[in-house]
Amino acid sequence: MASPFDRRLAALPALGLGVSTEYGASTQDGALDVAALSSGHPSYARFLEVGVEVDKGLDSAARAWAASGRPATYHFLDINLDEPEDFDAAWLKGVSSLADALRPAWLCGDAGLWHFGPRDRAQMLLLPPILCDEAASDQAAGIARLREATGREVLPENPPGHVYLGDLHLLDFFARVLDRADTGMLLDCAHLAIYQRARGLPPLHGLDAFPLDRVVEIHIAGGSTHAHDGYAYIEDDHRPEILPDTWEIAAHVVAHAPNLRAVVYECERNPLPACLPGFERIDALLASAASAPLRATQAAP
Amino acid sequence: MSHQALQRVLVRLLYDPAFAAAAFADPDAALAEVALTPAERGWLRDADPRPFRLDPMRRTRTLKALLDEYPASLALVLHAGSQDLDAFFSSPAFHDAIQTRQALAPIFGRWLAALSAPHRRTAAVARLEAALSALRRPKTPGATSVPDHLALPERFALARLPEGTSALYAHVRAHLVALGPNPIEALYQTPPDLGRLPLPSPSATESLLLERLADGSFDISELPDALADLLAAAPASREALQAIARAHGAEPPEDAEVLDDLLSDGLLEPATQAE
Repeated sequence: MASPFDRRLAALPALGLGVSTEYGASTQDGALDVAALSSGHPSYARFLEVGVEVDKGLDSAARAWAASGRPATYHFLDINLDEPEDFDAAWLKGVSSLADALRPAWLCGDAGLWHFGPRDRAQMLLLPPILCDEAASDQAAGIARLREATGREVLPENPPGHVYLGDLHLLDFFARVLDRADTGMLLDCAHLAIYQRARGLPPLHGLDAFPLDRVVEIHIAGGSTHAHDGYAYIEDDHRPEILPDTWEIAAHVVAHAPNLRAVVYECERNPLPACLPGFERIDALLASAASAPLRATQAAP
Repeated sequence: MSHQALQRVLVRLLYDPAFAAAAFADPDAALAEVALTPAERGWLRDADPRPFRLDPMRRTRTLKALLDEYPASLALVLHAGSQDLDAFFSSPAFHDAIQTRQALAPIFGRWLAALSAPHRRTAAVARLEAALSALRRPKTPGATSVPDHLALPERFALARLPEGTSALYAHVRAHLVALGPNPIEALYQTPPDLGRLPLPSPSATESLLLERLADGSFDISELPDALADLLAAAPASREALQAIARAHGAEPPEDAEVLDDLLSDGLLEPATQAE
C-alpha cells in the first residue's frame, strides 16, 4: 500500500538540471549569469532554486524568473526546524507570501542550525544538527509543521559542517528524519562527501542502507581540500571543480534513486564559461538516471 | 531537548577558544551549568578539537554585524582609545546569551556599557544604543486583553540615562552622517574627529522616550520625570497609574484625564498578555 509520501510524491514534477541563487547573487562580480545560461544552454537551467531569507525577500532576478512562469524551488535559509519557537506567526506568514510569489515545486533547505538564538542578522551561521535520535524526532516535527503550514512539500537537506557531534551516522540520522516526517530528501552530495571525509569513511559508506527512494533532489557542488593544524578537511566553496568523492556519491545516487526529480549544480559564484564542463558532465550522468521522469525531463529539448 | 543545549554549547566552543580548551580538557567542570546527558558529555570529550578552530574570522564577522547597531558607541570607543571589543565573545554575557537563546545585539550593548564605565560618554551612549537595539526587535503581542490594565505600546521604550546623553548621541550621530552609508568601516579606517563633545552628568538623569518609526528609524524625546514615572509603571491597572498621577500632584478628576489623554495620544493602550 502506498504511504502518504508516495501519494504526494506522485504529484511532484520532474525538474531536471537547474541552478541556485540567493538574494543579490546575480549582481556580484564574477557570478553565474543565470539569464545567459538559460538562453544559451536551456537544458542546464531548467529550474531555479532560490535561497530565501524572509527578511530579505526575493530579489528582482528571482521575481523575474517567477514571473516568466519557469519552474523554481524555495530553499529556506532562516529556519531551525528543530526549534518550535522559531516558527513564529510573522515568519510563517512571510514564507507563505514569498512562496505564493515564487510558486515553487517544493520547499527545501538545510536541516541544521541557521542561526543561534532568535533569527537575527548577527546570529546567522549554519551548523549540522546533533546527530542523535532525539534531534531526528525534533527535525521531523519541524518538517511536518512547515509542510502543514505552507501546504507544500518540505525536503530536508543534509547541511555542511566541520564539527559533528552525536552517536548516529549522518545517513542514519536522516533516514530517521525522513521516516518520522514521512517526507523526501534533498541529498547534498558535496556535504555528504565532507562528512564522510571528516569521519574517515569512504564516500559511499552507509548509502547501501539508506532509503534512496526518498531522495527527490540532489545538490552537486565543487569544493577544495585544505589542512589546518594537521587536520585535513574539505571546504564547501562551490568552485566549479567537483571533487572525486562528491562525484562518486552523485553517480551512485543518480543510478539508484528512482524518485529523483531535480539536480542542482551549485556554481553560482563562478562565471559561466568556468561552469560549462560541470554542466556537461552532470547532463551526461542524468542520461542514465534510475529515475525515468528525470531522464525524460532532461532529455526534452 | 538537551541536544539543543549541546548545540548551543557547540556555538560557544566555536566562538571562544579559551572556553573550548577548558571544555575539551574537562567537560564536567567547564559545562557544569548546562543540563547535558552523560552521553552528550562523552561526545564532547571524544571530539577532535581541531575543526573547532578552522574559522579564525568568525568573531570578527559577528562583531562587525553587532557594531552596525552601535555606530555612535564605536565612534566614542575609538575616540577614547581602542578597547578590546573582541573580548565580548569570551564574556559571561555572551555565553549566557547563547545558552539561553537570546538576541545578542542588546546584550552586546549592555556589556559595552559596563566595559566602558570609566568612560562616561561611551558608557551612556552604549546604554542608549542598547535600548534602541532592544526596541528594534519587536515583541510578539499578547493575545489576551487584561481588563482595566494599560501598557506602553510595543513601539515605545523608556530609558533613564545620565543627563546630557541624548545631546551627546545627537552630536556624534551628526558626525557619523558625514562618513557615508558604511560608518563602521569608515570609523575603523580613519580615527574620528568628533569635535567638542558634550559630557553627560555624573549624577543627574534624563528620561527619554524612544519610539521605533515605521521606516525603522527612531525618534528620541525627553520626558518630564512625572510622565516618565507614570509610563515606567505600565503595564499596570488604571487605578495604579492614577495613583502615580496623584502622587505627582494631579487631583481627581485630573488623574483620570491624564490617562485618557495618554490613551488618545497613543502613549498608552489596553494591555494584553500571552495566553
